[in-house]
Amino acid sequence: MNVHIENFTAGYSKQIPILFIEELRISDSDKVVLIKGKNSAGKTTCLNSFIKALPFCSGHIYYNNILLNNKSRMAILNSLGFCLIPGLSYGNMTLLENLSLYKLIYRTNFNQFMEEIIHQLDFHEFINQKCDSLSLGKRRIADFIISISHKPQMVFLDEPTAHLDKESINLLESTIGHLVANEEMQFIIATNDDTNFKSLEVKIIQIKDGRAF
Amino acid sequence: MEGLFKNIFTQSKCWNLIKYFSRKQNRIFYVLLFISILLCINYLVCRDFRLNWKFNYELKDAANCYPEPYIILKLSRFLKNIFIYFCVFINIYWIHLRNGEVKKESLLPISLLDNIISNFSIFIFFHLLFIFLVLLLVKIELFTFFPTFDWQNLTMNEFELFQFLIFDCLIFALVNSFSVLIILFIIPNYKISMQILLLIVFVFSKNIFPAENLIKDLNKQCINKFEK
Repeated sequence: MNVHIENFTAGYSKQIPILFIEELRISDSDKVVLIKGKNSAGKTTCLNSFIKALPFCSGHIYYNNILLNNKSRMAILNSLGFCLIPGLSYGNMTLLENLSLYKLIYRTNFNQFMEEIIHQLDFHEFINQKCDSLSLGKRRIADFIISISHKPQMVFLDEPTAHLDKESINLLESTIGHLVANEEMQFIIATNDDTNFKSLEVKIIQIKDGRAF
Repeated sequence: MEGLFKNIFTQSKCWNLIKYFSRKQNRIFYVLLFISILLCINYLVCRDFRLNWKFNYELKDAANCYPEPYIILKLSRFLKNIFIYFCVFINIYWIHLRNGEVKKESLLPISLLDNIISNFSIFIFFHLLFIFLVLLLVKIELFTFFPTFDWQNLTMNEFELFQFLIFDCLIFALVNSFSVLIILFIIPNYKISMQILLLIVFVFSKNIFPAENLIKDLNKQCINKFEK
């Protein structure tokens, strides 16, 4: 999926814009893109900017040369996945129930694919637990599974390794590698941890002084 | 054909949104608790009222009137008050609850129309459930507390009274649901939404509460024991 952002300004109030993107291009071949920056640099704001999910946004975003606006939004959102903070899982439902709900919202049915992913992430014993009762790390993995349940072309992950132990980080990394290679998914990941995702070929977007480049 | 209809229904996005919104509301327990407390208070008030209605009635300088209009007046006032509490509670609760979902929903391919239909359906369902419970309570009270209640001493019969109340309640349900939905989807700031809603409830929509007109009407009624 090609993404092109130009002259984009975003913020939580009109008077104080906190992120400016003059021009940013992500092409089909950029399978894993890391958004890097210090704490409070605007990494999460940058992720939200990709779909204009902020109170104040101006500028243009194109997905496969289609301008993101109210008309095209539904179609574009159908091909995107999100694992932000908080994630998409509903706490008083189990992962399986959450997956059934999202299956109906996205109108997809990838049961075998989901089974493979759950197996790959070694998450079988938690699928029938209510998400509220999962540990923070397990909840992040549940959110990740939900975010890819409809086989999106592009997935946005906000600090996916937060609260995860080394073993879970390795599993997540290998799953992302598998999805990139076999399902041709693209991942946009906001992180400030330099030690992860070294096994993957990545493009880096740096955020500094409210500017992304 | 039946299977096809069932399939369309269960696959519908609105239906599934309704299911998940309802599912998420485990705090519905608190709503039911709130209703139960109101019912208990009502039971105590009515029990007390039944024992002392002659005393209360005479205090109003209408000792020669038949008690039936006064009994209905009392029940109507209770009905109106209970709806004021319900309206304030459910409106604030719903706006507060939906406010937490806005961010999540902005990431999902749910159209504005789907969202409005699902919200409206749940909101109206809450109202209808509440209306059913309260009117059932009124009916039970009339039968159990006032077994000697004589409809001939009223200007309306039982059917007309309940028809009037149900119509009033439905108008209330529609007006309140629409107001909340319009405010919910037009004003993004939820504190301002709540303030506007409270203003509407207390200032502008006083007349939409059920039994308001009945109270006005009954206040003028005194079927005199000696004239009859």
